[in-house]
Amino acid sequence: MESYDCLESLAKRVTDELIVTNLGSVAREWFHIKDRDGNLYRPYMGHPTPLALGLALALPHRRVVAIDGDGSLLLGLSVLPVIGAQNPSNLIVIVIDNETYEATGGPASFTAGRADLAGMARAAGVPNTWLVRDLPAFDGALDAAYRGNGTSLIAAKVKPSTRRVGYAPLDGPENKYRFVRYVERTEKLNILKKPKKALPQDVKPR
Amino acid sequence: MKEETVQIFLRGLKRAGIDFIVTLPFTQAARLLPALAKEPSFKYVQVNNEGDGMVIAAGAWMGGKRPALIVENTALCLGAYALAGLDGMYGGMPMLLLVDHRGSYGDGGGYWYFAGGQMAPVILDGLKIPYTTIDNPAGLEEAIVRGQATVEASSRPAALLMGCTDHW
Repeated sequence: MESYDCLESLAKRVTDELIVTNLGSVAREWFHIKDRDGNLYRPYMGHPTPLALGLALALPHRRVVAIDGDGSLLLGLSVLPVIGAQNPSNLIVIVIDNETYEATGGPASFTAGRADLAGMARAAGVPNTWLVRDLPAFDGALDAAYRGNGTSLIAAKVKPSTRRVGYAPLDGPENKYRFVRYVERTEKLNILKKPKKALPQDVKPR
Repeated sequence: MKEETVQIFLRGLKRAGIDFIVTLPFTQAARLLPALAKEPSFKYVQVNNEGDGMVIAAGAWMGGKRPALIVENTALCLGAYALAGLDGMYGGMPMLLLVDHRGSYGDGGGYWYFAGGQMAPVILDGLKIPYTTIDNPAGLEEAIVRGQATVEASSRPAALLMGCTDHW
């Protein structure tokens, strides 16, 4: 199983979810498989899961999916007890665990050894966790996560990616505004507020 | 912190439209945080690392909330990576940083506060985050409201450094 297989499986389910991806190959692959306005790509390492948690807490009726990586989540493990305590049922964290820092050429991460991210999440209070090693198990875990009560975390053991797809041709600020406008449209919110003070030319007749 | 100061905090946050509070407990907030936690107009999130909190706040803003962090100054040391990352990748995310500026001029509390105290303005300057300093609670309510106005106008973080809070 490669990350691309997991992402294709997720793509079949996606309707209006808000999706936050890790940087590196996962961002490129998800862009290639299912680019859409509800995708936020490439927060810094350690940030996809807490960013998705913030979204999930702000919009508790809306499904939010973090597609994180082993190196990234290992950098930000301190968020796991926060997820366990808040336990939003609308949050699914998928950890694409390739056991390496793949973007740098493949040095092993600690999940190649004895570290178990699903076990850590479980011990931190995340109620629904899975460690999966093949696509049928991933599909089953994802089905259960979509039905689940409480937050779900799926650690998916994958082989290094063999598919090579290009970078998303949009930069971070463009991606942020596209994403927020999508949230505004679909949630009927006004997030990007106009300046409150009128300028003289706005109030004086010409 | 006196009960009167707790009430000033609550009034300022409500007037500013803040509805999402992220915090990591610190000494001077011992009376403030329980009051915030039970206030129904705020979603209250306690974190283990303020850097996580800043990223959670960014997500909350993208979901339509107006977030504020209430933290001690060492949060800026821990959170510099988060703030720089959000700024570098996305051009910044709006959030109000309400920072207990222990270890600043006039703080007679202890030498251990001063490392974080001296770093706080350096980090804010380095990240080009606008900030101001107050050293008593008299101007607190207005400073919170003006800080949130700065956040919304700039669409980036702004910070209020609160000094000498052992007298608040």
